[in-house]
Amino acid sequence: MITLDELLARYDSATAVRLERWIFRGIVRPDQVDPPRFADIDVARVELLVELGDVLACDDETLESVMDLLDQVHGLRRRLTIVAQAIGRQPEAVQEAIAAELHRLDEETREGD
Amino acid sequence: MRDPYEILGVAKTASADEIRNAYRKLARQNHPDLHPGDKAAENRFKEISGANDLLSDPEKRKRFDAGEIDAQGQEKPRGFYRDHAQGPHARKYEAHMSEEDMAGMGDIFAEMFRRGGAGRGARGGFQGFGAGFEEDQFQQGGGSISATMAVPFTVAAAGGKQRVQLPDGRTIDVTIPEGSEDRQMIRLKGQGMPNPRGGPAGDLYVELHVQPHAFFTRKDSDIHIELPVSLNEAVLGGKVNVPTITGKVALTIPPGSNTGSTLRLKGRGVLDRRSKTRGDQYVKLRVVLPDKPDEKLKAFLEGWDAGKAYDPRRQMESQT
Repeated sequence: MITLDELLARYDSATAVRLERWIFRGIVRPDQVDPPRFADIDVARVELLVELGDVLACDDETLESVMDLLDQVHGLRRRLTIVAQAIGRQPEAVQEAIAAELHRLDEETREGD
Repeated sequence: MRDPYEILGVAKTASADEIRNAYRKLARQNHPDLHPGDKAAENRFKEISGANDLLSDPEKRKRFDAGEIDAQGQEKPRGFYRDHAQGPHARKYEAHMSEEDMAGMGDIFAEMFRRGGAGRGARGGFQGFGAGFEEDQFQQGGGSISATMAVPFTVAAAGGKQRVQLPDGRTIDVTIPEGSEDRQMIRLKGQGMPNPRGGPAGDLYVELHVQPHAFFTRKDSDIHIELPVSLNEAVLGGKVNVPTITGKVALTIPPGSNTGSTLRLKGRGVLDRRSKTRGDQYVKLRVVLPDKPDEKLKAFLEGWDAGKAYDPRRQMESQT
């Protein structure tokens, strides 16, 4: 956990101003509030935002949309993993039935294209 | 491995001298040869030396502060956001799923998916530190208000008060801190919406839009200005008054100054909010001739042989 000052000190002043805006807009959310403290995930998220801002050469509004989509993807991946784990704990016959059904549905939706 | 600042008992902002003094004192107190009977002194001494090795080297210290190397001076493995995004902390950034998304799932799965992250819903648009990030916390206080405000260049640079009209009709005076930057946010606690349930009022966030100045420009904490000087001042030198963000300052123009010569007014720039140091003002001279042609000057130049012999485009010609 690091403080806001420690986090800001890692960047040049223009980036620090952007960083403060991301925090105020809730794109980055400190793990603890009052006084704000940032966990490893928040620090990694800031690093990603800085790099994406650079690589995509985009403004904060675009960046926010990108992060929104990325958060959705990560959320879906996590839930999908849980579903797969739950299926993996079922008796083999159930697992096979689910696998067959998944295959059938996959074919079916493809034909619909 | 403990934090090297902690080991030496110095602040993260400590100067090189403070670090050296702290190290010497601790090294004296813990040197194994000065404490033959104290077994633990050796380990303490190693720890102190290690911390000093890191912090006394400006390059290493900078990299440690930036989180690039650890307390042992080892390169930290480069992590990526995705390494965290599936971890236990990631739920707070996760997006909610809509009811339509869940319509095709059985009740059992829909229930699980509904319990996903507290992400979007908790954001409620604009929010800052104090507002809290969980839905229930968020609703305890009054709502926050955001506003933008135009700030004159010099007020942002030197600090001051500025009046802002809020969306709800109120006008309030906002204190602009010295060294404020364009698009910086200022939070005014308790100036947002009143709380209908009698709790604390929400916060007000003001985004500063710093206006450009007629002759000052700012680059980080330095101020740049172009200063017109007369031919007399340029050739003979002299004292002139230069505007700075805090008022006029006397500047000595050295004899023989030219257009493009740059002079520095130390400490007349903007306060850097993080390092607490002040930048400089750079004054770039521009030699300006009188508005009307002067007969005496013309007569002088016609008889001035050295002036005719001097070719300022000499270098240009040699390169074309």
